[in-house]
Amino acid sequence: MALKDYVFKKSLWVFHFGGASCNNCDIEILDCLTPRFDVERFGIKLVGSVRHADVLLVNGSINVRDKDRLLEIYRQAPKPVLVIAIGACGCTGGIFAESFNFAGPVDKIIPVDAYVPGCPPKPEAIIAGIVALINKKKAEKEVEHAA
Amino acid sequence: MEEKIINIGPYHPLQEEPELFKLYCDGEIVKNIDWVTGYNHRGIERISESKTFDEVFFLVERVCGICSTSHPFAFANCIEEIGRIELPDRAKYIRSIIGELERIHSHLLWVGLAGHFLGYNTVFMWAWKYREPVLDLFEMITGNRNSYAMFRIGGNRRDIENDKIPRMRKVLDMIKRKTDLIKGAIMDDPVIHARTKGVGVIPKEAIIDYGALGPTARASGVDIDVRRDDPYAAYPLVDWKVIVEEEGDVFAKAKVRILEMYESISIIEQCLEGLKKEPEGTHYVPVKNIPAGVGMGHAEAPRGEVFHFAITDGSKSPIRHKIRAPSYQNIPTFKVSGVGQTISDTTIALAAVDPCYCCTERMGFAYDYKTGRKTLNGKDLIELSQRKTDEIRNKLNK
Amino acid sequence: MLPNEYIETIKKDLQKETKELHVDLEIRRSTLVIDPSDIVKVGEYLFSKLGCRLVTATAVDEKKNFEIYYHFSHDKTGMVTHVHVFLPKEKPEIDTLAYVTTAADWIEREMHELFGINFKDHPNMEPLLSEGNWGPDEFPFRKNED
Repeated sequence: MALKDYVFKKSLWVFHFGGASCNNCDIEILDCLTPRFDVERFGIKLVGSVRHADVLLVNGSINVRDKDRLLEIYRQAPKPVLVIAIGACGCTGGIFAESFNFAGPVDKIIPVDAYVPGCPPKPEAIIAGIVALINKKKAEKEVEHAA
Repeated sequence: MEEKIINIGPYHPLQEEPELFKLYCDGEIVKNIDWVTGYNHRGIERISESKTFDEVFFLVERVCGICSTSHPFAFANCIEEIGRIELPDRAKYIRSIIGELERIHSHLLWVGLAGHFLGYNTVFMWAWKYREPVLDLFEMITGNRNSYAMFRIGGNRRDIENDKIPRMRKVLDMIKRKTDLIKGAIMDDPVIHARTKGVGVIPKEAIIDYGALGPTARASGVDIDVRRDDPYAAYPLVDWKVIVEEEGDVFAKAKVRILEMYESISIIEQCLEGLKKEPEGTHYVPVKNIPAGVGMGHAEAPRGEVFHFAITDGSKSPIRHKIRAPSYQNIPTFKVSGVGQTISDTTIALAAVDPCYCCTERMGFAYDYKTGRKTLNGKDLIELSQRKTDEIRNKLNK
Repeated sequence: MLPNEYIETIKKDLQKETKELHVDLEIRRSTLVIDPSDIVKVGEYLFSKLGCRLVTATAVDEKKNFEIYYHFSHDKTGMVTHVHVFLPKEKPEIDTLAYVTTAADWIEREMHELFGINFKDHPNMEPLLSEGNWGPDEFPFRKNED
């Protein structure tokens, strides 16, 4: 197993980017850190700079002004980076897709590896999303090795 | 001396107005504060004009996730004013219960984040831990932890059945005990006193001039509260008082919020008593159509007054819908509370207004293409603030 | 002060400026229609003399005019007064209230960006929301006439 795949197995460091969101997803992401859910048990940690992150969490609809910032953040992230779109707005634009300054859902701007739908998704769902992503990566590798 | 710019932001998931704060500093002292907004503009007022009245409730709920009942509350008041709709008492009680539960969870959230800013991560973790049972109550009553979709024109979508009351009482008792604990941890701590007393003072005149609202105003001795001044829902039916402090500093704001939590618990308990008297199933009145007219509604959110104004023409949707969230009035007061403070004090002075601080982690990246001047990021800021707390703690321990 | 006293005071002191006054004491609302040129005088009277708070202002794009409702709340009585002005479509312009109360600063900047209403002598008419979202000559909240 290559080093790059190895690092994604445990202790993911996540960076959180909120676009034009309503706050709910942001709060639920923070909630994952607090005692009831406590994702730090698994080494998952929110970091202050995307340059330290393995995973980029994006929530909220992205408006025209946010778009450049999101691209800039994605550019700064060390590759490979996993991107998870959180919440209905992150996945599709949600209720704000009708807005006049909506710039498109996250996957139209940067590549997305996993989607966690819900308005807002419960912390359990967010954790399940991250676990599903890790399993997906593992399965992909196994297929590659077998081939 | 080289002027340093510290960027706080830009991703600040407030209502329609998230912003980038630029602190212009001379050494340690903040000389000026500038703000840039527009990162979160979603054109909600414009979307609202294309939605029916029932759909607008789901939309305004998503103005702000933390105040996700205050906006529907104000909008319901607004439309019910246009249609002159009188609610049954059970509907009023249910609305007040939801509103006050939200105040408790929002204030707990603020206490936690303020603790985090001061370097008290224990307070952060504990406050958020005890916030969870409140969210569980929401899940039990409404089906969702946030964004409750509870209100409709003429009442509520769901009833709170009487057999849920004992469990709600149990959780409230627990919250009350934990509030005692948090109150003790904050009010009696000499380090917190040293960090917050006399910091970020907003004088009464400035509050009136800026039109600031909610706990920010009440901590500076401005006695306003929509729940009492222009009563709505069940607030005139229950007995409670408005908490007012005179000092106007960060400590006073914390005190107002913590004492308000006790009032909220007491309001909910009285509302639960009231619920028992009203027959189940009378949680709404059917409403056929909304006449043409002009109306406004306001509601006291955890952060201050939420104001909605709508013009209708007898059709299914509003032709103009104006939303004003409390932080819109509260944020400019940073010019008063932040300027002249040291950088580490400005952080908590900004946090004291409670401008939705789940941006804390978001403050991480700061970039300044134009000037290329040296910038500090959010993490450094929090560290600076936490270091100061440690210094005070060490001094007191000696 | 009682709600009816508040209304009587307004009636007496703003006799000259008032074009229309609609009062509904039951729900504690009143609407005061005035000429745009009187806005500073009326705003100053309500804010400084009566101790009202400028809640916010709503701009509306109607067929014939731009309209602005300034919402003043008198918290001691719970009365809310909507000060209603009409501005011409071709040149929507009105004096700023930012020197009367700082609260008007942001409110007017927002109206300027969304509707293109000009506030004379505003201290700081920098873009608040639009930068990067839409151009300086676009006004997304205006209704198209087709």
